[in-house]
Amino acid sequence: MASFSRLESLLSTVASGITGIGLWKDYGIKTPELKYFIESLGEIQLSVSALAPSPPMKHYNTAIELVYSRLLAKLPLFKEQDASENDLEEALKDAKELHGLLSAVYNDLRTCAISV
Amino acid sequence: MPLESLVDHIDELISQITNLTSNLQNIPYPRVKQNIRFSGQNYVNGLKIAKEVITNCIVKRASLLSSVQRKDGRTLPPEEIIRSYWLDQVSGCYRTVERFNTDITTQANPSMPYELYHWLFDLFDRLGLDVTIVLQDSNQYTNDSFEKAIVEPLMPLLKVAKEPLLPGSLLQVETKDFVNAYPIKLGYVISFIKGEACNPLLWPLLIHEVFHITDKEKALMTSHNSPTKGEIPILHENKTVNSRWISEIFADIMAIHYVGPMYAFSLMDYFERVPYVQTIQYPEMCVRLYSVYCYLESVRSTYTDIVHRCLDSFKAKIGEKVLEYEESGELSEEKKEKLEDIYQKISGWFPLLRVNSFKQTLREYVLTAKSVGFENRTNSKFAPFPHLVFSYDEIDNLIFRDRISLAIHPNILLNVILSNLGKYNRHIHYDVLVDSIKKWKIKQAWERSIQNLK
Repeated sequence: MASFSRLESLLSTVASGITGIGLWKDYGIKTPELKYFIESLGEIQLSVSALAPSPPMKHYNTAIELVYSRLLAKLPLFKEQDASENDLEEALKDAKELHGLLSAVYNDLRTCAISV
Repeated sequence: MPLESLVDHIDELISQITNLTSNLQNIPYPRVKQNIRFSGQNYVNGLKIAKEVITNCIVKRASLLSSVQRKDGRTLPPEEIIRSYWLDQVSGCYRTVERFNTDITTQANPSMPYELYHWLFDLFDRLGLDVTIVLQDSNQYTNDSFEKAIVEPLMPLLKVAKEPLLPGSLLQVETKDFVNAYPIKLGYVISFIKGEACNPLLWPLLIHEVFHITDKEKALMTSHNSPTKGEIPILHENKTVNSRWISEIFADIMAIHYVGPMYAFSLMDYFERVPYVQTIQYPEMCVRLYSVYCYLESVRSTYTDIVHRCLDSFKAKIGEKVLEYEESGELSEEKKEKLEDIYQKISGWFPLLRVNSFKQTLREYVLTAKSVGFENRTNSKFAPFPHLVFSYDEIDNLIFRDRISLAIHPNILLNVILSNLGKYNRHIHYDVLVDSIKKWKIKQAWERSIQNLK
């Protein structure tokens, strides 16, 4: 099952995305944070779907899948040299939403027993 | 310096953990104490890595960026840069270091009796695995290597920091290999549900985790003679998912061979109280229950009547559940055939691990007693009986009626409980069981010292 350490790692990966997109948007530079986030997007999906879905998890699954697919659709944008302010704003919003959802999952997992 | 307060807090945590692990008088067993100290050192090193991560991967990078103009022409001080861009990373680091402290604190003061370590140590020793394990209160049954528990959450920051902040520029923080500088030694944390710590009926689930660790340590699933190689039936078309599912079934089958029918009870009892849904990590519940049911179907003759009594009392119950799955269509004939095939292949592999099966544990119990000539019974129920063989009814009476702890392998006692669930009362018999493990351990040490003298 996805342990707390795994989830913390996922949260840190998504946080890298927030840092990377934010720096790209405001400074116009693509830092290693963004590169790492892009490379790890696939891993995020696999790890999230490995979470044993107790009832509270089921509640998050759809929302996570939705925001994840939006981020995945933005992958070509991340590979561009330049992107519009609006697109980056949207991407940042999605990354923050995913981080918020995963944080909620993390907090739930700390309070509900799930798997063996 | 930005984040100085967080860095100071980590120093405080390092000192707390150091004090905690140098002061473990409440733990009566040297090997347990040694393992917890080992774990503490790993967490202290983890905190040192976290400190370096905060200083080098966040603060210094933000300081470098403070000399760079934003698109709007502004430059920001490091504090504001951290607040605007690294906030989630900082709160993540805080969350992780706090978890380190919680982890080691619950390891040093677990809800589970320390005696359970003896049961697990014995299995690891028989498996020939020299690994350090610690038990930890949690809200799930799982296992993690120290490396995963400690380093993995910090890896994204460590990996990113290795590259220049701005591609092609000199704006780079020089980072050491912190993981090498503060090594995390090999070992495992086995977590269990805190609320079930004093429930012996679920203790066998820990054995499932031990076999997962065995699989990781011996690379069983990937070795050349792995049962999963070759013609193992496919339960899922995706190879990774299939291999994860087989790994779960493997741990279940190994655990039931080792613990005996009681493992099937623990699994079913746990599944009944917790909603369990198939994921890419775990196969359906019916798959796992049917896999252990195959054991109950196949186990036959034995040296004592314990197995039969357990089967009589429990096989029907799990059989009803299997029937429900069959009627609902979840357990088709095709799936059953595949699972029976998987069961045959994996269980045929059990002897290679050189661990006693439950039947062999019973056999050893009887033979050890005979070999030293103590097979004659005594009329005194208070005899110290280091080598006395008790019949099923005698064990039953001593445990349930007289509440006398017995120096008998925990696997045997747990199965006697399974066949007497009506008489079992957790509040009354918990202490009897824990004391029994203690006596069994002492008896085992005594036997070994006798053997060494010979």
